[in-house]
Formats: sequence, structure tokens, C-alpha cells
Amino acid sequence: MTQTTQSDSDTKLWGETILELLAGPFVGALVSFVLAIIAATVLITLAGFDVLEGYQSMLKGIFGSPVSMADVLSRMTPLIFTGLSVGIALRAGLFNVGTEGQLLLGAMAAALVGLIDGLPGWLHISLALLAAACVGGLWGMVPAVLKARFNAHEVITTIMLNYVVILFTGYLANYPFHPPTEMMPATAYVARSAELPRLVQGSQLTIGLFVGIGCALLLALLLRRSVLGYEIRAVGLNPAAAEAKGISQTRIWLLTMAIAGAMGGLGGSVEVLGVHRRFIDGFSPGYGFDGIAVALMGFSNPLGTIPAALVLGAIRVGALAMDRTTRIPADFVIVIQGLVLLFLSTPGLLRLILQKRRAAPAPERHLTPTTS
Amino acid sequence: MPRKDAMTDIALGIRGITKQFGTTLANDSIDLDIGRGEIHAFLGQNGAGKSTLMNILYGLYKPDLGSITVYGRPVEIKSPRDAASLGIQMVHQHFMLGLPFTVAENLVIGLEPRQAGLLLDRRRAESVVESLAARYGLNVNPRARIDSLSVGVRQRVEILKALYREAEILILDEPTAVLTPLETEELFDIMRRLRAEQKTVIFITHKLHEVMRVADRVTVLRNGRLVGTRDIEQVDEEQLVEMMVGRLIEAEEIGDATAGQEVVLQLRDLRAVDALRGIEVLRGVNLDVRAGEITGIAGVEGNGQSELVEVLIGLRPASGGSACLDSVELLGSSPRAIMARGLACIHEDRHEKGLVGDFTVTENLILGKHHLSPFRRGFMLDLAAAHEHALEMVRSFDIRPPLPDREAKYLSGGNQQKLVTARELDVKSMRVLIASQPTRGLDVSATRFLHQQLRAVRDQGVAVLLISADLDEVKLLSNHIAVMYKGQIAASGPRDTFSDAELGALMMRGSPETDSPEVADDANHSV
Amino acid sequence: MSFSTEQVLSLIAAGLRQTTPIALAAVGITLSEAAGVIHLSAEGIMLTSALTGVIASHFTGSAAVGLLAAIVTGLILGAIMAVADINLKANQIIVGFGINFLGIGLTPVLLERIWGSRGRSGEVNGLPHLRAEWLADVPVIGPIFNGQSVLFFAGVAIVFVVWLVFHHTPFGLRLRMAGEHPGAAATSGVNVKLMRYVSVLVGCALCGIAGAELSLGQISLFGRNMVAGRGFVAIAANVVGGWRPLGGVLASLLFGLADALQLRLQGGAIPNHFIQMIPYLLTVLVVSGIGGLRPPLGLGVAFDPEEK
Repeated sequence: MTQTTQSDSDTKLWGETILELLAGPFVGALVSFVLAIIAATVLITLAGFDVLEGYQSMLKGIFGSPVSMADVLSRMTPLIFTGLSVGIALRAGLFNVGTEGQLLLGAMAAALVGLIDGLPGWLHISLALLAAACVGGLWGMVPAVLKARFNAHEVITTIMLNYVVILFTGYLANYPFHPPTEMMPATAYVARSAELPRLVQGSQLTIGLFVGIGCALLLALLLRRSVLGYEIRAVGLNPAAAEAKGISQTRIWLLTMAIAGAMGGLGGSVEVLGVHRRFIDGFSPGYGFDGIAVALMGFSNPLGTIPAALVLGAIRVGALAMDRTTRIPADFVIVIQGLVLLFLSTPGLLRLILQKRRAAPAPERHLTPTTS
Repeated sequence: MPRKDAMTDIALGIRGITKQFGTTLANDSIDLDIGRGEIHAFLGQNGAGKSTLMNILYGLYKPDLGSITVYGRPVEIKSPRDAASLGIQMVHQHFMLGLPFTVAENLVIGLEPRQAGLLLDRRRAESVVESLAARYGLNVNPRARIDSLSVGVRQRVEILKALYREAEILILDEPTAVLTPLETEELFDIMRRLRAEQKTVIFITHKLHEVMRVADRVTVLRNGRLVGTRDIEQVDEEQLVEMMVGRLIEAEEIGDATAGQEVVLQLRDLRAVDALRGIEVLRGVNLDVRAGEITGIAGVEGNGQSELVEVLIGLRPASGGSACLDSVELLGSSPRAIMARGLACIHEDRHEKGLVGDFTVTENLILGKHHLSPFRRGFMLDLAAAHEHALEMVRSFDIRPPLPDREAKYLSGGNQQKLVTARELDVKSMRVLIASQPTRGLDVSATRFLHQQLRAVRDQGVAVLLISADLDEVKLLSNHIAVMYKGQIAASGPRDTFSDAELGALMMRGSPETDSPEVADDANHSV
Repeated sequence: MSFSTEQVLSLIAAGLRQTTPIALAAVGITLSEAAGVIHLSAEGIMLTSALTGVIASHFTGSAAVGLLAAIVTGLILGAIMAVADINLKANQIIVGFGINFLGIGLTPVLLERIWGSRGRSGEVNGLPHLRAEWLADVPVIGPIFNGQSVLFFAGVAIVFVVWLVFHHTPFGLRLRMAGEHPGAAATSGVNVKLMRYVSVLVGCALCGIAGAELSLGQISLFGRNMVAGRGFVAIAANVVGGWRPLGGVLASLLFGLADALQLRLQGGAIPNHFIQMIPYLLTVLVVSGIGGLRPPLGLGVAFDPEEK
């Protein structure tokens, strides 16, 4: 046994605690976003556009009228779901890039269930949403199984499986479920009873928003206060400790990806039943990938997903307005998204400054000094 | 065995080396000379400070105090590169070899022979390997891929790598930990060849018999201090054991066992196999652990203690025999099921695997029981109950600061230990508590506190199984002592049955006679 | 359904055309990942450099300058990737997607600025193609190689050089060890960070060339969605090729031929959707261990030899 030469100090300095807070996720997300806006502004100016005009039209596009604000909320809706999907997986230590595929499969499931005739509205919608969640959930488990069984890295499997789904649903929408008279690559319109009621005249906002917020609240409750949520967090934070105490990493991976897939699927179904009322090949402009930005900005917290989705939805809507009234293309906000990701990817500068308090130095992974 | 009568040729001079990590003094003023053409063993239990010293020599750590000379010249070793330029090379326990590459490629990387200045001259690399191998008697195929080679051969590649880089001083870290007995013998031959070439070989081990077989001199470390350096010819195993294993303990209340009770945990012919090496690590363990008693297993580390614990808590499968808790078989159950039946365990690995740093104290305290009442109500956690529980734990174990909603990573090291201990000891209807190296790394007061806890638990009627490499601790706490040797219980009985000499002999040879030859070594049978 | 010889040859030629950009990008990805840095940004880099190549050609009238611009673009984006991944030890997956988004967002902006269009650029001087009278008459070889872009032939040379360096030079050995076991590399005196820097930069430059091939090499203009997921197909090719340059090229060839085939089988028995799935399904199989291929063990883990 080794002798100690001084007694342990009991508390951390309060100053250090404040620094930890500053390095914490909320401020980090905020700072990253602000930095991204600044960087984007610089780029846009360099490209020779009028930045002020751009921002003006963006703000007008967001706040200009009740309809525009409703549009923001409508645009935010699928982002909540995809953000939740990526976010909950992150909490378990998994990188779910497959939300796009989960979303599309859920959308297709809802679109097909929506074709059934003669059901009362509430039942029809519930069934469609349920089908979407189930299909998405099952599909979400596939990369988890591959990882648990074969150690297949989930980033690669999910990216590839996305394309498989894109192609598969594209096939379905163009061939077997394609109405013969239809020009667009789409399925038939769903029955009236399956349509999600719109909330605001002139906008595509539906009650889907509330489903999304409801899911966010549900997942927040799950993570914070349920047994499963506790286990998910444990596995994500210290899988060795969790395993030693009887929590099966495999089981948690499977359950988490099922939930993540269900969220993605619901997101797709809400878009189909609320906005398009049918499955159109290519309807998703990459909601699944945007979910990565939403999840990271919401620091993987389900409640954080809501403001993050709101912000991202707002700048998307604003960008469309900007596109219409100025010459700056709407895609430009994707640059902001990319910059946010880049800034969020680096471990906080503050955290680098803070010393990690340990009894022995943290073992470096490859050049591990002997430890016997 | 060539002897050195005087240190005429000192390869390494170590003076006053001291290194502290946080509150732990890993090396306490080490003074030592190691000669050229010498095989020098570093002996000590886990945590004694052997590795820290080696890492300092290899340039991975910087000593707080002290100096080093190499062949008489004072040097500063700031990185492995510095060490290499001084001729110091290390063969790590976890090999530094790229698996899909060949032996030749792994050997020459960084100092590659070239063809036409730009291309890799594979042929020359291979012939270099062959000539080095021939010179030192290390049989190896230069074109073989590392992942096709056995562990023993991989180690040879590592040694060749060091030799290619013109190592004069070779440090081997626990080299036999992963070898079969046959491979170990081959390694010893290699070490002797190296010595014949005037190389200095330093090897770290905790296995006495190896030291006696191959070393010229041995240094024993304990608790960070150098206990002594001896010529092998002038020392015997008992003396080494005494140097390795004793420690200073302040007087404690010894306390008595409650009268011999029912057998709670019964092990019969328990066997287990190490798949990687193909040897039996538990070779028929027979043991009774009684309620209201502390049964202490003494023994030099590496005789199957860790594996025994792993089997009992369900993290390692047994290959034979039985382990019954309250007459019901334990083997084959999941860790969770075993915990549910009242078996608690303070692991030796609790440092890394004990805590979730970002969880609060409260959350950490229920890890492993979070799915049971009272902490669970349906699908949800009963946070109020968890909080109550945390307050109680924090109070009775004096965890500071007493803030259950603080994240555990903010606690000091000692308080984190207390946190884990508190959790492990808090098992409802605990029937058996296994404490494996429970006070390793703890200071005197924390150690005393833990001993109190163990006795308290015992007094509640729990059957306590203490496994410790520290013989004094075992003697202090146990009502009943068993000695583990080569995967079996060599002897067991009430504490006072054994004299210290007998215990020493049992730990080293498996037989209580102090001058009998070593018990027949049928640990060599492979599976 | 039977093919005439002519059709088969023309199919192979088309397949090679499809393969070129994918193979170039795949080899670039291989370089980076073999050294241990995850590379997910081929899509964004190819898109951006396809455009900058066209822009440069537009302003200078020279496709060669365009190619140069594409390479420089790759290097710039590669520098961002390298600094973030190696120096700042950022999460390499997030960085990968970040750069992709950057490319997807920036290209329409530039397109709008210069051509005032949301869809495509104007036509510019493209890269030359091999057109030789004598070659056209050579049986088999002729129809296949005649008409291929200069980057196809350059690509063959590049792949050969990369293969040589990878497997037969000390540099290649060190690069691969840096990815497989950075600790072993470092203790042998290899500068792991430098290896990774070089491999990322060169790899991204290759992706830039791939982008130039798509625009300047094939249609002499830039279209908004012209990369169309090929960056991810290149990732797939790298995986299926076992993280080796030759393997990546062979996989790209497979995918390229399949792609050319599926275009010709439109309306055939198997809907082309399913043929297009092949690369992705193969990748999932490979990464699940079929074929015994695996990524370098040090992939994605930041390495710091200074940490004690």
C-alpha cells in the first residue's frame, strides 16, 4: 500500500465550479452558434453579397406575420423528432446517423396505413403514427444488432442503410404503390381521416408540433426519472461501471436505438400526414442529417431539442424568405449549420484549461505506462 | 551463473528517486545500482511502485526528486526517445506491435533499411531480423504477420525490436504474465543469452519463483519504498516474502468472531480456465465461508485470487466444480442474479469501474440496485427514496462534502473510495461480502475505517471473504485463514493454527514445511 | 437479354468513367483513414472543388488552372479537417458532417454570385479527353480507353504511386502504423501527428481532383446536385476495399460498373433501385466482418504522445 503524505482536501474551489459551468453545454452551444453566425457573415460578405439586406429579410421572413411564424413552427416539427432521435442515441454513447432512413420508413408506413378507408379520424391517425413508430423502431435496431454482434461501427452502417432506405422507399413510391395516373413519384393521397389537422390558415403547421413537443417531454422524463433512462445514461457515461453492476450494454443499445428509430419514424409520419398527405420520393431535404445539428445544439438533452429545433427551423424559414427577396440562396444557412457543427465538435477550450482532478494521471490510450 | 563481486561496471545509477501522484507517494527516495551484464528483478505486490520507477527510467514520467546516471553519466530522461538514445528500451506488458504487419515491418519501422533511397528494402529488413534472431537465439519468422503469432513469439519480436534499436538496458514489464510455462522457460534462456552479451536486463514481476530461477540480484519494493536489494545467492524465498508482504499497521482493536456459524458460501472443487493461455487458473478450490466470520485468503498475487472473485460474482465462467450460496448453486447465474441473492463485492478494480463521474452521489449510490425497490416504482425511479438513502450513506460513511446532488467527479479521491465502499456494503439481506484488495491505495485512516466496516458487517452475521496480498491485513482481520497457491487452497484453518513461518511456506510452496521442496508443479498441464 | 460486343465495350467504358471520380476519392479516404483519421467529408469536398474548378476555368479559360483550383480547395478543406481532428482533437465524425454541410451550403452561394443561377453554371473549358484515331481502331482496348478523360489516365498513375508508397516505402509503413497502433509508431520514433497531417491533406487533395473530374472532366460545367452521394459511395468503396488503395479502386470499379449497368437496364426485370443498393449493402456486410476486413485499430482516436 502506498503512503499518503497529505490529507485529502474535501471540496473543490467554488471558482473552479463556476468555470465548469461556463464550460458547460448550454453556454457552449450558445457560443458555437454565435461564432457560426459571425463566421457565416464574413463568408457571405466575402462572396460579395449584402449581409444586412440578407439578415433583414431573414428576420422579416421569420417574424413578419402570424403565417410566417406558424411556418417556423411547422418547419421545426420534423427537426424536433430527428433531434430527439440523434440525441437519445448519443446519451447511450451511440452515433445515430440513420435518422433519415428511419424517418423515411416511418413516413412510408404512415402513408400506406393512411390509405385505409372507413376509420374514424382519431383511430386512423393513431394507427398511422403507431405504425410509423414501430417500423422506425425496428429499423433503428438493425445497426444496434450489427454493432453488438459484429462490432460494426454504427456510423458506417447507419449511413449506408440510409441510402438503402432512400432507394427502397423510392422504389415503392415509383412502382408498387404508385397510382397509375400520378405524374409525381409519390403514393396516393391518404384518406381524409388520416390527415393531421392544420392549425393556422395558410401555413402547414399541424398538431404534429404538439406530438413532437410531447415526445420531447416524454423522453426528458424517461432520461431523468425512469429506470431505463438511468441505465441509458450510465451506459453512455461509463459502460464498464454499468456492466460491472449488471446493466447489459447490448440491451441498452437495442432499446435506445429502438426509441431513436421510433422518433425518426414519427417525424416522417408527421410530415406525411400533416404536410404532404402522401409519400413523395425525396420529400425530405435531409431532416435526418439536420437532426445531428439539432441534437448537438440541444446538447443531447431532449428538452434542449425544442429550442434548438426552433432556432434551426427559424433560420430555415428566414432563409427561404431571404432567397425570395434577395439574391442570397436559402442553402446558405446550411453553412451556418456546418459551422455550428465544427465549433461544437471541439472539446471546449475551457475544459482544456481546467485540470482534471485525479489521484493518478489519466492513462493515455496507446502509450499507456505500465500500471502494476 | 556469473557473479559480480564488485560493481565495477554500473549501467544504471538511481539516487533518491521520488514520485508523487496526487496524495499517493508512488516512489519514495529509491537508491539503487544496477550493473552491466546483470539480470535484475524488481519484486513487489501491485501498487508497490515498480512500474512507476520503470516508467521514470523509460522517460514516460518525470521524477519529482532524485537523479539517474547511465554508465556513470548523469542524464535527464524526458521521453522514450531520450531513453532510446541512451540504450534503454522497454518491452511493455501490452505489446507495441501492429497486428496486420509482419515481424520485419514491426522491427524496422522508424529505422527502415532503404532501397534506392525511397523504397522499403524488405529483403534487407528480413535478413536483419534473421541475423539478430540467430545471434540471440530468438526463433522467429520475419515474414510472419503478428496476428498469426502466439503470445510468446510476439514477445520475442518485441525483444528483437529493442535489440535492433541497440538496446543495452532492457526493461521487461511483467513479461511472464501472458506466457505459458514452456514459453517462460524459453524467455529465461533468452535473458541469459542477453546477459552473456553484456546487456542489462531488468524485469518486473511479482512471482517469486521466477526471480529465484533467473535473476542475479533482486530489489524488493513495498509501498513505494525500496525494502532491500539482495544477491540471489544470499537470500531465500521466505526472506523475500517477508520483504514483499508485510507492512506497518497501527494497532487496531482486533475483535472476536461471533461463534462459528453456518456455512453460507461453499466452494467445492471449483475450477476455471484462462482461455487465452490455455491453462487452469483455478484447480479445484475447496473452501467454506461461515456467517459471522471473516475468512481471509492469503497468498502471493497471481495464484488465482482475482479469477476466483470473478467466478464468484459471475463475470467469469467456471469450468468445473460448484459454488453454493445458502446451498443453492451460484455458477451460471448472471451478475445481477448473484447480487440479488445477497452477494456483495468490493472489487480490486473499483477505481475505474466503480463510479460514473458525471452521475451525482445519489445516482452512484444506487448503481446496481436502481432497478429494485425502494428505488424503483414501476418504470420510474423513486428519487425521494434515493435521496433519503444517499443522506443516510453520506452520514454514516462520512462522505464529504455531504451534498448528495453533487456530481461524483467533484469528490476527492478518498471520498470517491468511500462512496464506492458505501454502495458495496449497502446490500439488503447481505449474505456474503467479498472484499478483494479492499485497502489498496488507501491511506492509514481510510484503511482503518474500512477495517471497521468489515468487522461491523461481520458482526451483523454476514460471511466475509477477504482476499488480500497483504499478509498482515489478513492476519489482523481474519478469524479463519486460508492460503491460496497455484489455483488451490493449500491449507485453511482458524487464525491461530498457523505460525508465520508456516504461512510463509504455504504461500510460497504450498506446503507448511519450511524446508520441503516445492509442491509438484502440475500447473503445467494445459487444457 | 443479350448484349453485343459493342454494347459490352461501351458499358465498360461508361463504367470506367463512373469509376474515376469515385476511385480517386476512395483512395483519398483510404490515405486518411489508414493513418487513423476518420474521413466522412468526401461529398462536401468533391462538391466544393467541382465548383471552384469550374469557376477558375471560367475566369482563366484554362481547365488546367481549374484543376489546380480544385486541388487547392481540397487542401483548404483538408486543412480545416486536419487542424480540427489532429490538433484540437475534435470529434471526427461531427467534423466530417460539418465540412459536408459547409460544401453543400457554400456552393449555391457561389453559383448564384457568379452565374446568377440556382441550378447550374455556364459551360467552361473542360479537361481534355483522349481522342486518338489510331486508338479507336484497336480492338477491345480502343473503345474502352478512347475518350476517357485525362484524369482517368492520371488517376491510374496516381493510384499506382499511392499503392507504391503505401506498401513499399518507409513512409507508407509509418503511415499505416500510425493508424493501426499509434503507440507503437510513436515509440519507434514516428511522428504520428505529421503522418496524419500529410495523409489528410493529400487525401483531401485527391477528393478535390475527384470533384474536378466530375465537373471539368465529364460535363464541363457545374450542376447543383452533381455529386449525388458519390462521396458516400467512395466511403463505401474504401470499406469494401479493406482500407487499402488497390482494394478501394477495385471496389470503386465494381460500383462504377454496376452503376453503368443499372443505367442501361432501366425498365428491365430488376428495378434499378435495387442494383443501386449494392454498394451500400456490401459495405454493411463488410463492416460486419464478412470477408475478414477491418479498419485500422487506431481509427478515430486522437493521439497525444505528450500526455503523461
